[in-house]
Amino acid sequence: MMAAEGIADAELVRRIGTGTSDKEAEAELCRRFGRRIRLYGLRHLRSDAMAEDLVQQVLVLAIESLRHHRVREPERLASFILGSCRMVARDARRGEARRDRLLEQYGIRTEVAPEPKAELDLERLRGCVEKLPPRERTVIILTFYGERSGDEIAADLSMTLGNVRVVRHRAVGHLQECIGVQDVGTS
Amino acid sequence: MATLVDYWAGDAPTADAEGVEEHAFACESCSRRLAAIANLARGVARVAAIRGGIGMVVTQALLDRLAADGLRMRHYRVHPGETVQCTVGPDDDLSVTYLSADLRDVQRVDVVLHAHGKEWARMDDAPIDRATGQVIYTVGGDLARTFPAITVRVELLAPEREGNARVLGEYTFEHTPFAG
Repeated sequence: MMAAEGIADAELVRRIGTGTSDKEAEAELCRRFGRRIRLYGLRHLRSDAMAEDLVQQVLVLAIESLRHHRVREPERLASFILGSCRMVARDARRGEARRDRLLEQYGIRTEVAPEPKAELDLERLRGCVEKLPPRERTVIILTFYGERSGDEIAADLSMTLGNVRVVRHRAVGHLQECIGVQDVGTS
Repeated sequence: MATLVDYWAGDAPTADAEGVEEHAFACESCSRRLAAIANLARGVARVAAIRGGIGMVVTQALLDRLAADGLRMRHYRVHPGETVQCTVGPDDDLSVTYLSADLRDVQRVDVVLHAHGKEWARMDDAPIDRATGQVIYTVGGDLARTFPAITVRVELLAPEREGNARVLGEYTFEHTPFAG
């Protein structure tokens, strides 16, 4: 089996669609898009478990579609996978809403999802967060822990939305600089 | 990077967000950059609610969320001119101080802490929680447990022109050290 690393998306589509069960090409598809799908899931589903489910479902869907030549524009493979993400995530959200209604109806409490894997040195990051100027620290914690929108933070702290964005952007820059590596923890 | 940060924070308009997604899906290096921001954001969320706490200026809504997530807190509410006795317990994650003052029409405040007759710490441009009209700040329990017996005078200042500052309130904290 030929190595598939680094080949163009369209070539990946062609190889998976040959019907010869090209495992190298399918593995490359998973490697290439797995992290991107997971990111999409984290952003839209806000749950590690649901993001992992999304990765599995979208990759299975993509490989099945490629094997059966259902991707019409091979050079637009990334768009096809993104479209699949949107569709599966929408269904997942509906399923979650239905599950939440049932849990509430029957008064069942589910356990909190397991802690995500430690990808950053938390003690080091803690030190970096504590070094931020007070306003940057507050804004970044309200954003990423409090899950407050820019408009809400602006109202909370009497700031403009533009100012919130500038402060938040600056805080992310300071944290990346403090941690010392731009692309830390991207694996 | 600003676009990616706005996207991850949920503040990008829908059309922009979709554009970011399209691009990140097709571009390996942009996907890596987004992953780095996502990772940092998730790390910040974990640090904010870490056991042992961190020092930060907060809002009441944020404190409510931290309490719901199980952080243990000790609260000190103080008005200008008052003295409070304070300490920290073995399980406290956060010591929370609520500084009341007339903050109407005040755009910016600095909080300056004095101990042993000199400046000990300061928080310039400390955000005001507009919902309560107070400046609310935390000290991590891990740090507070290292404090000796100490008297801390806190000044809440409104900076004015030419380096001057108007005193909005003065507060005194008599700290009894952790007995553990």
